Amino acid sequence: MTETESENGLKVQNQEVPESDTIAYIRRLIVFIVALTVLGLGYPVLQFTTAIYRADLPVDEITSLASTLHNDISFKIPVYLDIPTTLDVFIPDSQEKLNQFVNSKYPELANFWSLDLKKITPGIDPEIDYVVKLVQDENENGDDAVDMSPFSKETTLKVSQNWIDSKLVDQVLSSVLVDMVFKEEISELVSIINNRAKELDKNIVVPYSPNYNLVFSLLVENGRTVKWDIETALKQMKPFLNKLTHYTNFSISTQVQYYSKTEKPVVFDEKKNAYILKESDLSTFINFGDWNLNTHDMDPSINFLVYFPESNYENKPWVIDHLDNGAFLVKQWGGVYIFNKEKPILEGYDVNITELELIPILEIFTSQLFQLLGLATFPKSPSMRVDTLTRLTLFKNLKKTLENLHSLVKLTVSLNEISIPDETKEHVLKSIELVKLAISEINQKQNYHNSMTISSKALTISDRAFFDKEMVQQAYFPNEHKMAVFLPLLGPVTSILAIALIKILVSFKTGLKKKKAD
Amino acid sequence: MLLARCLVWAIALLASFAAADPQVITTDEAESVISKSSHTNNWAVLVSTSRFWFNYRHMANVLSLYRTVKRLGIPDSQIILMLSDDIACNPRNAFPGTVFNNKDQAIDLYGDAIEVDYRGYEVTVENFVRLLTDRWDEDQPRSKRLLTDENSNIFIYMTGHGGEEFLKFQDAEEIGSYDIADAFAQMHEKKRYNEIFFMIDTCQANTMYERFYSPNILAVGSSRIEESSYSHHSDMEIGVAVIDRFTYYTLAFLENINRDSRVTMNKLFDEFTYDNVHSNPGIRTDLFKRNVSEVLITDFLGNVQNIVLDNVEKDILFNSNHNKQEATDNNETRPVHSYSKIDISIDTEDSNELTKIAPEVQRAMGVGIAGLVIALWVIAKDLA
Repeated sequence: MTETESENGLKVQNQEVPESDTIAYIRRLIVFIVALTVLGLGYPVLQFTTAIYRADLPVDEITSLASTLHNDISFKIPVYLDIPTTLDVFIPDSQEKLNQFVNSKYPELANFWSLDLKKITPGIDPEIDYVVKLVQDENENGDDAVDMSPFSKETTLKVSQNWIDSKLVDQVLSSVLVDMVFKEEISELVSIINNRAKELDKNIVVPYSPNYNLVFSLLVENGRTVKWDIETALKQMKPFLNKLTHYTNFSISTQVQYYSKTEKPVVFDEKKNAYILKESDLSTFINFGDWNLNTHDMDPSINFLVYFPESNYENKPWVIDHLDNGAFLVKQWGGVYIFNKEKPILEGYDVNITELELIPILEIFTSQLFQLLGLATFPKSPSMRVDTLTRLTLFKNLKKTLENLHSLVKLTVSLNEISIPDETKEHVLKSIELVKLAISEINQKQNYHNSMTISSKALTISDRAFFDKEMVQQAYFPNEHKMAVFLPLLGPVTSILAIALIKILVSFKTGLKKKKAD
Repeated sequence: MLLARCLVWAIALLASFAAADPQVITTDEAESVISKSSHTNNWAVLVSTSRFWFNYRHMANVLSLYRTVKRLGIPDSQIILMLSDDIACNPRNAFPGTVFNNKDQAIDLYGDAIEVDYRGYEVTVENFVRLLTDRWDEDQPRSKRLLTDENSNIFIYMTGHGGEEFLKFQDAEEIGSYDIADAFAQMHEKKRYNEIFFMIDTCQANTMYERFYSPNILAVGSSRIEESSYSHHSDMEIGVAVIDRFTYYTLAFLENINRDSRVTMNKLFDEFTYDNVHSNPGIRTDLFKRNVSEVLITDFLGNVQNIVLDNVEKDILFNSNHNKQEATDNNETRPVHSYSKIDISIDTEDSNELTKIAPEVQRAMGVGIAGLVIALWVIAKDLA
């Protein structure tokens, strides 16, 4: 019973009608049902609709593949021995000796890389497969014993009677194969396996890509017309580029640019009657701002510049200090050759750089291209070098693919607000499938060309998986602000619910107290 | 007796010489120590983030650095220029088609040779993060992508209005310091950079680089937390401030640098004093491996190529084009066959080489001999 003052000053007693039990019960029921809905239905819906979609990636498979790559691959390079049939029995013994030699000298290569000695059959072509020809040597000394063909993959070994008598021929054969023919390949493989850090000077090689643009530019310092027979000269390069079709694809383009001056003027030396370029100036010789060297293409470019200075018209050459030829290589970019016309140019005639003058320039460019692609320097034969490059790049590609996938997995674990779309998962699975296919091509068929093409596809797809456009961490707001953004929705709902629940609790407690008092 | 003593002393001295390790430093080495960077190409990402006419100075900042970076040799194909508003063609510009960074109006930064990659509303947080992590559609053009690899040094410059751990983009959204740090981490994972030089000119700029955790990043900010960065001066004819202090002093220093300069980074950092900039700039070097006094400015802002000389191998083209049959048919005599002599070492045990001793063993032997001789001397004294 409470007392209140009404308007005309009379005291009025308000009777509090106690709530009927059913109404109180209904009120409590409503609150509980609302609470249940909010917690049972609302909360999961909120989580579900604001969760970031993350497809699950085959993490275990990736880590296991990455760690056992070295053990999964087994290179068995066939080497055919051209020996008379009477000495066939020599082959299994030499094979054993060879295996022992390789494994003792390079234990990392055990079960990974080995040579498979076989007897030569009539269909074997030394341009395609390795052949070792053993011939009897007339003179007894060891001079000129090994002759590695500079054209094909053939090696001729002159065996002297001395060696046959002391049963040293298989040792000689092992030594020739491991320490000469395959020396560079083995040392590169060992350094890749050991993950040896790249030395500063080895940054010459352009990173691998399935497509390259080869751009040959003639830069003329002034505006007088200069012609060059580059198209006919480039036909000479075609055989070499054809050897690499399984490895990568080259698109060749050429251009001529006029009014291409260097940024720093070159100094004229009276004594030598030539313009001298210091070696330290070469680092900033290429004037990227003025010369148009941009290919506007996604694929990497290897540029070869031929620079035609104006002083050619005065018959004064441009010479790089301390060098015979005016050529230098720019790491991971291309090469430059400074062209000096040997014979004086007649008045009124336009210069034409003939094919004959271009061939030595192309020789220099080919040598630079070899270095830029990462071809080995030792066995002279280009076929042998291309073969070595195929195997090395194949291994490096597979390794890089698995590293990419592993980085992807690491990323998804460390940044848990990044979404992982289904496309990424598909690309990852496809990439793993291609890696396994490439490994089986090596192990079962020793088909390096096929495996190389498959490995480059695997690398491209793994890159696509990593760089999927949906994987941007940015939602409409950063995750720290999620609660702040949803507060206008959640605030009123939770506050009303909380207050109602507290009221019920309080009335319950007072009800209990009353009961106790009674 | 005296003679014996002298002899023993002499022997002891000689023995100790054998054990000592002489160290000689040449004067060349002592003079200039520049650590060699392993990068082969340079990229630059220059971002301005603010809108509206009164933020003229932010565009001027970015365009001045664009001009500097181009002058020092980085080609346009390797510069990503992001201008968030078109100041040169703004109706309030008294000199249409121009942008100046100084009231003497000496250099028109807009010129006719600038290539803007992201303009106007394309400069958003999402595009910036996508640019850094290279996550695009297939039809994103090459000029708008950051195609760096593990040998690229990247110079990233950002300017605009910022605050504690955020930078405001387009007056509508902001990028947090964690976002940039995570983007750099993704770049590091995918080996998309060799080293990054991050420069930021906003208010409370130093807070933006505090969250980086990937290696090989050198960061410079124009002011500390709770501090503003100031503009340098206004042009009365244009009517607004034309350049910021931090960028003004950076540019003043860089005007004296040319393409083959050997000036190191610490000289640039010496320009950032409180008197000049009127705020406390910060430099973060703990993630950067090399010492700042050994890093060339052109390592980040220039495009110095690595050259290899004298490395031409002969007859390669010839060998690719011929096989043995053709060569002998045409009587070509050019190719050189690789003849080699074989050395078979049957018994490797007994060789006549001088045995090599390791330096530690040498030292131990020297000390041992000296000690033995001194002991003998002492004993001899007692016996005598």
